[in-house]
Amino acid sequence: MMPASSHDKTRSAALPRHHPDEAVLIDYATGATDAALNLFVASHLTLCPQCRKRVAEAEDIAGAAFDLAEPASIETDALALTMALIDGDMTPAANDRDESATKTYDATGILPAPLAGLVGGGASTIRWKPLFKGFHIHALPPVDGNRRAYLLKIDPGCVAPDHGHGGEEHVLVLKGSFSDATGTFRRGDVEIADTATHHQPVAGVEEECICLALLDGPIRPSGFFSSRIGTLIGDIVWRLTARRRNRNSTFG
Amino acid sequence: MRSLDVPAASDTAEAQRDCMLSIARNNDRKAFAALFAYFAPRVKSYLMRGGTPADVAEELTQEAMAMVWRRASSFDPQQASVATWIFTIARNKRIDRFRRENRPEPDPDDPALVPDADPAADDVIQADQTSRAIRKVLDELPEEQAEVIRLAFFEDLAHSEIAEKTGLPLGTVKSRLRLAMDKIRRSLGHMVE
Repeated sequence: MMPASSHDKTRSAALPRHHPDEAVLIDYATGATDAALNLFVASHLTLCPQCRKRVAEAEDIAGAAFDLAEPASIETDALALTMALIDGDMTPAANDRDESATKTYDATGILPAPLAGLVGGGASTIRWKPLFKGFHIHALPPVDGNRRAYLLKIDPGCVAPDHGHGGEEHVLVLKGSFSDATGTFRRGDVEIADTATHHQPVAGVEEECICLALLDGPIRPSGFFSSRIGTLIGDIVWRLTARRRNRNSTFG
Repeated sequence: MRSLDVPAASDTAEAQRDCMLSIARNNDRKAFAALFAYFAPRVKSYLMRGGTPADVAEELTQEAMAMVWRRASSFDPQQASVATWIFTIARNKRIDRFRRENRPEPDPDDPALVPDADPAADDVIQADQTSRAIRKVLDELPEEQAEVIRLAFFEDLAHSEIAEKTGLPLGTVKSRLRLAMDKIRRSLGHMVE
């Protein structure tokens, strides 16, 4: 269920122009996405009414599939057991979503709620680790084994090393902008690069660029930066996020 | 006006909606039993198609239907059909259980949320018609598009898994899904953006 807005916005927000593929939104709607990609899509959806609508449409099809697929047989006492759940125990079931739990929001509005919750506050509370000149990183508790999630902060005008990817790279802009051969990406915009993509993103000069990024496999710098240092940088990013995973065994 | 106290069989979208409203307003257990008879076997089938073992699916189904009762007052017939609403409850139950944490979703109270534009009048879809209309459109899709839609929505495969299963390139799966969704949207009267 996609939320209708309950907020009266006094500033008009520009709408994203680069979106995840329909296939990704369908996977999100049917629940086939892994946890890291769920986080990524939910963050984009916060900023994109068009994609929220697409997800709602996919949910409608999934609801129709209920009618169209063969029903399973259920236990004869299933209804009675369900009524017992409803009557007997007024406390929610162990993994019912706790709708009354205090939610964490970013007062500056930069981090969508799913991220603000993970970071434990607003974008200004993030302790950035310098990566190399102009680039800073904050590893997120990985919520899934296969993908690494991190926040990236790029100083205005900085150029990323020309690089390819071991796997897919998902990037969602949260603040500022970057440009590469595909176009310019601003708040809410998504770029999903696959193994065939080599690109050299440049941060916009007006302000720092903050992104949410998911990485499937190590970054493989190419071109001028295809040196020991370049490979080292790619491996540092990879290992930084791996170390975070081992420390946070509650998510394991 | 039809009495809401004795619901008819709940196999039409309209009857289902009436049952939900009766549950929300009157704690109507007969209405709940009617919805249960229809949806519990379908929720269980959905869970099992997604790979959940039968005994776990049975348990999750009961928890999901209990949540249908508990959350009845939050059902909004303007937003979606009962089937879609119950689907999202079942989906989230399945995900939350196996991930041990809640599935991230956009939050309506989030200051960062970019609001919907005012919905155009023709965007309001009659929930009654959606299921019937969708079935009709699915029947009319070219076979190669119908196949990927079936695998995505009836077998619950991620699009990468569809590519593996069919041997099709990932790009082909993506474009067939896109074309199928465009067709479905046009047929249901949505604007194609």
